[in-house]
Amino acid sequence: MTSSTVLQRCVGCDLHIHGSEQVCPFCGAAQTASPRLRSRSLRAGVLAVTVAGALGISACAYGCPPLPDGGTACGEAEVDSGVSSDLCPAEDGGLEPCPVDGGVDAGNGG
Amino acid sequence: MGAEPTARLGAPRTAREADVTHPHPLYCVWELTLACDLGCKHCGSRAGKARPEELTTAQALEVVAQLHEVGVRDVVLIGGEAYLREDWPIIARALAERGITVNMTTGARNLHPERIQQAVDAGLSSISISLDGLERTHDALRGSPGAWKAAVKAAGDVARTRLQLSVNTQLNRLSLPELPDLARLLVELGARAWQVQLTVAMGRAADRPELLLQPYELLELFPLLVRIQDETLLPNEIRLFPANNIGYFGPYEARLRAGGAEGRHWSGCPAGQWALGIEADGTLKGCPSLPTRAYAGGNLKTERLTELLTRSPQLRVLRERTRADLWGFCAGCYYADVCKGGCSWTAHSLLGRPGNNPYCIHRATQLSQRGLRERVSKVERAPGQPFDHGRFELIEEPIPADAQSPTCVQPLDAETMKKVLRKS
Repeated sequence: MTSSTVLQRCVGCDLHIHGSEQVCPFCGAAQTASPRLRSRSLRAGVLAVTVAGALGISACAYGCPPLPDGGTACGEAEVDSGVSSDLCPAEDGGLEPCPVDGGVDAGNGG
Repeated sequence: MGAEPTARLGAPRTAREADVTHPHPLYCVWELTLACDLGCKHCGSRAGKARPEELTTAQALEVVAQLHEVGVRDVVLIGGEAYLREDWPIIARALAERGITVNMTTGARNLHPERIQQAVDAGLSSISISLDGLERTHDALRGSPGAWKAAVKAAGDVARTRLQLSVNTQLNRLSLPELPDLARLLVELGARAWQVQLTVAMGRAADRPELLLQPYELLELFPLLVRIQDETLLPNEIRLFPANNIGYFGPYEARLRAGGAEGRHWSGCPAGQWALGIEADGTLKGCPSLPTRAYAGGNLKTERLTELLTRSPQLRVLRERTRADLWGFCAGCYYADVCKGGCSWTAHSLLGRPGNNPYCIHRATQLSQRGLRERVSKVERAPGQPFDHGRFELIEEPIPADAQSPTCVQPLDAETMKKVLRKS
């Protein structure tokens, strides 16, 4: 492991930063001698060594998208486009899910 | 409701000290058959008919023994539709009898109570049912009227057994607006876990690029997932598991990765190292989703798993990736040494090789701070084989002055949608 594969979470903004960082590259916070939460990365999976409880996420200079509890510009209503109603025309003049392509007939094998 | 504690979710896949000392695959996703009773518009394997030379029962049981031999602790049975193989309970029981955790992922169109009882009897731990939205969206994406009703019925039936009910959902332009309502449905159904994964430009999804979210739209997706987690899932003890292709770091990593398990973070593509994928004809890959042509690392009908793990270059190239193998934005990323370019499947399916993955919240955020965003545009079609892909161009461009803030996901208009879903 190297200093860039061992990550800790910044005491200021809570983002993951290299274990060797003395100052957070994202928010500029000085890292204390005892990080609030440090994790050791393995080559793939992870083995976590943790201290302290869950940490909140705070705003930072990183440029985070708006947080959920701070509201987002894209509210649910705005993105509820109704596209799910745009299906294929049915024989009865209504709409229905479009035909299967490449699949098998209903009930085949099941 | 399933009685199993949520705390054990993912436990068999967690690397222990001994696993690190002697690395070996911890989990395997096994396509038992390519036969399927659905015709999903985004299906990466273009499932429908069984493969020509699928494993016999005897061959499958030999694979079970070999998975146990190399230390696999968790197997997910998939298809096609795994339950369309008549001998699936025999294979599942053989795995369970060796102490391997057995799960099934299913579209559940014909997951009748009798089959659920077979799963209980065979020793399965959980069943994950695919729900890609509310009824009309799900049925349209799954290519089958009645698919949603059948899946919801089966989910309720599973939840009333000792099996743990999980749900998995494709994230794309159709399903995204319905995620909050879908989360509320999960509560009603008694689900204990929810895995969400980005629809990737593979197989039939490569034929329908209009379905794909654009990389910059992760700036909307992540806050939405956290909001759903906080408002609906956590209060009802449902754990959210973003898949390995939802990346990476940024302000939401600690809350979302590995179900929000404390101390977890993304640490690179597990393919070929901790994970394996097996196709129904015995083809071995480092991950079930990887393109077959580029990543088939041998066949278990004729070669032993232990040998393939050692000598297959198609597996080795994945687990030995370093920063030096990355390219594009990922090569210069702050997290490069840990992340290693994120999901190999996503990057390869889009750009023809791994190591540069635009579907990354850290990347999208860094670019947006510079007034930039990335989008993908299809330039080459997929040939039409299982687990195939086309080629996409990655375009970096200034964020349009009239773009909504941060970048609201734009729906498809009705005409485009009809064309997308009708494509064959």
